[in-house]
Amino acid sequence: MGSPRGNHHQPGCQVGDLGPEHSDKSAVSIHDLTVAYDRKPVIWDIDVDIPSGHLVAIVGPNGAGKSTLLKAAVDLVPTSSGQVRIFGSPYAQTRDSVAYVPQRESVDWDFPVTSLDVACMGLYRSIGWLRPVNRAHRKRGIEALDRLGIADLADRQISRLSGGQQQRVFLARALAQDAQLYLMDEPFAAVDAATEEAIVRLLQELRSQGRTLVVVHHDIQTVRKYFDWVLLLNMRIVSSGPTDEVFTSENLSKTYGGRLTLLDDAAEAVARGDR
Amino acid sequence: MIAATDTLSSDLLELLTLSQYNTRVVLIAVGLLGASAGCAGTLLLLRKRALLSDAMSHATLPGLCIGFLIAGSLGMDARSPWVLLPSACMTALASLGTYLLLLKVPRIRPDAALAIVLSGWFGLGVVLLGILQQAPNGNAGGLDSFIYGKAATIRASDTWLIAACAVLMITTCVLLLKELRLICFDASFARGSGWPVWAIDGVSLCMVILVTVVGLHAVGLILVVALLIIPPVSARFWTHHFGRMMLVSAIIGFAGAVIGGGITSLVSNLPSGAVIVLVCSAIFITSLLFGADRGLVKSLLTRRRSRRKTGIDHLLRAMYEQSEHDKDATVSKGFLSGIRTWRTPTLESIIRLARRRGFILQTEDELRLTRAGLELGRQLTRRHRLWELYLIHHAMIDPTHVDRDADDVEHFLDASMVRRLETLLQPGEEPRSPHHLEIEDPST
Repeated sequence: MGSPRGNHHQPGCQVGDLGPEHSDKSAVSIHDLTVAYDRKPVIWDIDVDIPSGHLVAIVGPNGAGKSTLLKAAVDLVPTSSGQVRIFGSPYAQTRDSVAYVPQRESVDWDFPVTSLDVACMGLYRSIGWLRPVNRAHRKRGIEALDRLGIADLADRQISRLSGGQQQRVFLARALAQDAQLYLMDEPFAAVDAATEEAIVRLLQELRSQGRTLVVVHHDIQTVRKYFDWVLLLNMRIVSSGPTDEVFTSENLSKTYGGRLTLLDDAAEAVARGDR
Repeated sequence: MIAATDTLSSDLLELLTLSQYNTRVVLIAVGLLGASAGCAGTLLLLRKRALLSDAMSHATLPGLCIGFLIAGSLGMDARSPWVLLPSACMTALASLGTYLLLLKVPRIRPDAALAIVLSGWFGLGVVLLGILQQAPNGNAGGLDSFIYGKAATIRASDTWLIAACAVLMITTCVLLLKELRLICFDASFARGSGWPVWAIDGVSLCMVILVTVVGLHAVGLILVVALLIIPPVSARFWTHHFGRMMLVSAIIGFAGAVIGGGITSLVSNLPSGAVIVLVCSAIFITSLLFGADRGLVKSLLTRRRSRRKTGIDHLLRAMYEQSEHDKDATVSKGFLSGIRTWRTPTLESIIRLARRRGFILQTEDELRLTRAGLELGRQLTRRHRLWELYLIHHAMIDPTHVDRDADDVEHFLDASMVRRLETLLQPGEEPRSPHHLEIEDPST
């Protein structure tokens, strides 16, 4: 996996136009990343730099590998090749400054915990091994819930929350982590309008504090309104940059129109050939 | 006959006072075993691995047979736990390894992999057992007690072993409570934020294997999965806190094992494992029915209460709307069953309830609202209309469709929501039915 050649790679030299500080300023830099499930590539040869301090949308059709890209960034899926640097270092060294928010459906919401329990899980790393969650931690958990407007639901079992409330609980957990980089997998999926508004407000507040937020986003209508940086993905990076420049109808049709093309067929062929 | 009852009651007395050393040893052992199984089982259940433990417990049989052979060839006591249990652990671990390997094969689904592992290792064990029992010098008779469990064969030295395991396990659960809760709830978040999930998982699986192996004497390898799974499933009906669930589960496991073990010691020739599992099942059924968190009886009662409230609300609103036209109007049952699709027995029971709560008065077939009923009816009607207005003006729903929706919602609007509706709509003193508004003012 970690090839020794990769250590000499300097992202600053690659896309000359951003100047020498580029490598310091990029929150996530991905080089030649390929991830395959069961031999079939899901994302292929990804090369991208995400500068810090932006609110970034990852946009692309179903099956474009959006979630996989986030998971690869936090070492949750094995990569076939390539590497990811977060604030210039491998994830293993920077993980305390990264908060990952999985898709809401990824957990069992009938699990016997309350909203506050989940929010406090964001503090577990800083609490450390074997030490219990104490009153001060719970207070911080409630503060996190309060910033999402659900402090009154702290003692509620999580199965008795609505979908939007569950999403807020997940974000409260991420907030408690107090990270510099937030990676969120579809936080707006199936939430009510009030929750969407609350989440957007929170994301913009976090960005104004200089944090970086990378969000898998499904709703093309709201991209311009919410995000200042866009990454268009369909197995490969179609385009990436400031929303005004990149989010064009031409790029969008490249992203969404190109599903059943050579790229797909080639991926199929790779999968077949490997068997 | 009398003598028989006498011995039974004196046996019972002996059991309850724990006066016999042997009974005491057995009951302490199975109780501790049940408690630790309750803890380990909570982790299994919440990590969704109930069947994996079944496969591992079946895979202890070949280990027991191999241990028996080794002990015999070394000239030790062939049923010494110090040889049998480690070798049972080894094959349980080997079955876990087989399962993990099979998962790597793309075409084998987890359930099929479990079935293969369970039956494969158990089959191997049965064959080994058959060979051992035919061997001329080997006395393998005791081995099959491991299959169904025979608490009476527990000796004092076994008790110490079980007690040590129980203490170790309960301490681990208390110390690692936070970490275990985290990986059971959201393993990928845990891994992403840097916890060694494989290590914490390993600890919890080791606990399961430990319980399984030391519990072989008492419950047997076929039924030990029940002792692991039934207590936490029952506990879930009483609490929705991770730590409390583990505690309740441990208590249920303890109680089930002690009661089951006690029954076995009273009646000869009963397999202790099966009796313990039956007692646990009885606790499970009780929890399912009467559990405080989501027991069937409680949710039935809640549903009945809300159905009754809905019925009374609708009755009062219908009568109030009638009284808007004519202040002293009485309403007949026939009229009421006409405006709603109430069947006669339903209507009768609603009327009876409303009368008992002092909302209506009944003379013959005629009904009229009491003062309290009139007030409640007014509030209900107000809420209903506010909600209709909200739907029409803010949710842009067609006025012909709002009535049914408001029917469902009006019962759940609390005071704060009504106040929000009022500030939003500013309907004046009494909102009128929007069905009339629609006719009078088509511009809205």
